[in-house]
Amino acid sequence: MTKLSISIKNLREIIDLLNTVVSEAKLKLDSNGLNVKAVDSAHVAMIDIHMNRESFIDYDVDQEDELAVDVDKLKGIIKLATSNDNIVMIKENERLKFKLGSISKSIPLLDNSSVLTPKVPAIHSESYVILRKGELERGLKAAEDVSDAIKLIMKPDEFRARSASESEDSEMVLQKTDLIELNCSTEVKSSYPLDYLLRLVKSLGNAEELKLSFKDDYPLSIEFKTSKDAVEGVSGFFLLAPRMEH
Amino acid sequence: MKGLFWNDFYRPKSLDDTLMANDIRIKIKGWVESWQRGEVTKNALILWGDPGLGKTTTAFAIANELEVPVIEMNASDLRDRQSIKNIAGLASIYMDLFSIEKKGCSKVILMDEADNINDSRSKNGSSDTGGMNELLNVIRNTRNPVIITMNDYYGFRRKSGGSDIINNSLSIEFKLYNRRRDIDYNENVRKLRTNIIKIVEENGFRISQNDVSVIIERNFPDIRGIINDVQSIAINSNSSMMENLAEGQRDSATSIFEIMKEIFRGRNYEKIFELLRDKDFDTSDLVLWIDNNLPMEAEDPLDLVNAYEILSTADIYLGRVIKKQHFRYKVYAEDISAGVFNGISTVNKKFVKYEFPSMIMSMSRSKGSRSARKNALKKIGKITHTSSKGATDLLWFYSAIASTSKENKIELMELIGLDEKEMEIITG
Repeated sequence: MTKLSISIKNLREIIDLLNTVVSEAKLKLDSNGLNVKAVDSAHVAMIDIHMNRESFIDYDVDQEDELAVDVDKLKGIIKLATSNDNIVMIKENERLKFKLGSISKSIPLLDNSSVLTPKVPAIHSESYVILRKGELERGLKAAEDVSDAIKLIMKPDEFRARSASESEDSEMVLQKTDLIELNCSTEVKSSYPLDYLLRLVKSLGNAEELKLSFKDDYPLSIEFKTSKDAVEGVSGFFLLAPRMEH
Repeated sequence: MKGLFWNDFYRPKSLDDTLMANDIRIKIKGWVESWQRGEVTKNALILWGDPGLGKTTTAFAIANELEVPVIEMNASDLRDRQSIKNIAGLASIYMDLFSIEKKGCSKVILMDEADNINDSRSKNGSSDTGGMNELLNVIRNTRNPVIITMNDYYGFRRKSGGSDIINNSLSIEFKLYNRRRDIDYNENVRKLRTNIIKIVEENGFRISQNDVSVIIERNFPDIRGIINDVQSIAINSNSSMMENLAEGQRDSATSIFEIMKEIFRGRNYEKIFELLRDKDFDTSDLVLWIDNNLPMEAEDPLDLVNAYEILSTADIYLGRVIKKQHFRYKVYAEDISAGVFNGISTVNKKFVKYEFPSMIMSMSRSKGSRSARKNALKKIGKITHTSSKGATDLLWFYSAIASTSKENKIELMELIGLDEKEMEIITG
């Protein structure tokens, strides 16, 4: 029998992240902990989330299990919780039962074969930048309403996020000294969907630093960790496909 | 075994494997190559025609040829402005995460069954238009090939934005192959036969060339039906192939033959009723089956007379079902025909291969010409102010006129509005 106990903070993080990309997801549970991979229907955004079993308050899984869930339904449950609650999740037949304080509620589990787990492509780019989440969020917000895409430019000594349309433009420039880390030998640039980036950054409530790596016309990888502690919290990465230039 | 259904497993993977006329194939290949070379003139490909001719299969084969994934939006997805923008729109200008090493195009966007895309203006009264206009935007700005399939091309054109979409696309019509003497037809059937034999052998079964030809002839151009038949025959290879074939309804193969055997040989009323309870064919089919196979089982003329006496009583009740619209009479017909063995005193000991009722066969064969005749009569009735039944008496007259000269024939066709097939029926 699968029985999990998880803090509302961590569960909310996982659900918010999934919600940026998909409406259905399959949670994989094994001896290491929880793992979820999901891709949006346009194959433009992908997420890979991991949470160690040590980060659960209680983790009772017989070897392995899979829980296919409707993300919207999970969101509804999260709304019922108060911030200090712990949530107990129990798999019962074809249902997932939640216990939060005085409330218990169950939702149907989806057919495991109907929710596919994507194969995560092997991404590799040498250039990366580590920056504070708040900083990136400001740059993205400046670009909002200007265009659907944002162009990220990395140079050996600076990082830029630029957006332009026929009538408007916006740009954020961060010097090497403003950044936590910058590793770039030659200039690289690529454009990514702004809407997805904004939604992702918003959903990462507890992450402080983000590691962005990309190269010319190549997917962007954003690594995140919601807690400074190496074991605690939710970690993972987000992949975004680059805009195809003519 | 390759999965449960050969049909899914053996969906054609390349354009050369799909069944279509060569001129269509050449056009499609030209469009695919324009994407491979990066010299695109039309961003979208419209495949239109009746259902079941392989439009969707062709779209997947194109993606396979380009070695890219398919982003599909079909009739079961919501396809208003917003969802087309979020899925097809996003997919059309961004790279695909599953083909990041690929140069050139990175995915195929498939808008399946586009007939029902929402084209109504939004309710809030803004200039916001529906899915059709968003689709037009996708096609104009895409960096990836877009394929649209639909049944009703002219209906699509009438929708708002429809003709703009068509102008930005290469349109190809899928047509049913009826011209049996056509070179393409023969070539396609040959290709199909080779493929089917390959499929059967890959799964460890055997089938003869001739049997395959019979199956193809029966189902063409429905490839799905052909493969289903081949699979069921190959798997049930211990039962006789022709028995399976002669019977028209796929699932009742065992039951109708079992019932025939029980009626003629078993002669056990209880057992026959038990079998009849699970039948999935009509009582009139049962009577036709008995009718067709009776002469082979009752060799003594006197037996034949008695047996037909019983069967015709059953048939009377079948007639009353229609006449009185009283369906309860069906039970009488069934029970009486089940007792046909009472008329046969010498039971046949020889092997009899039960045959499919020839009447059903000839009716289904003549289906096309019967409906053409009906249409022709209706049209003649209209210009002569008679019923179509009354027009039967006039047929000889039109036939005589049509046979005088080619000009007269053509004039007659135009006057009455007959197509060639209907004209053929009149001239005989």
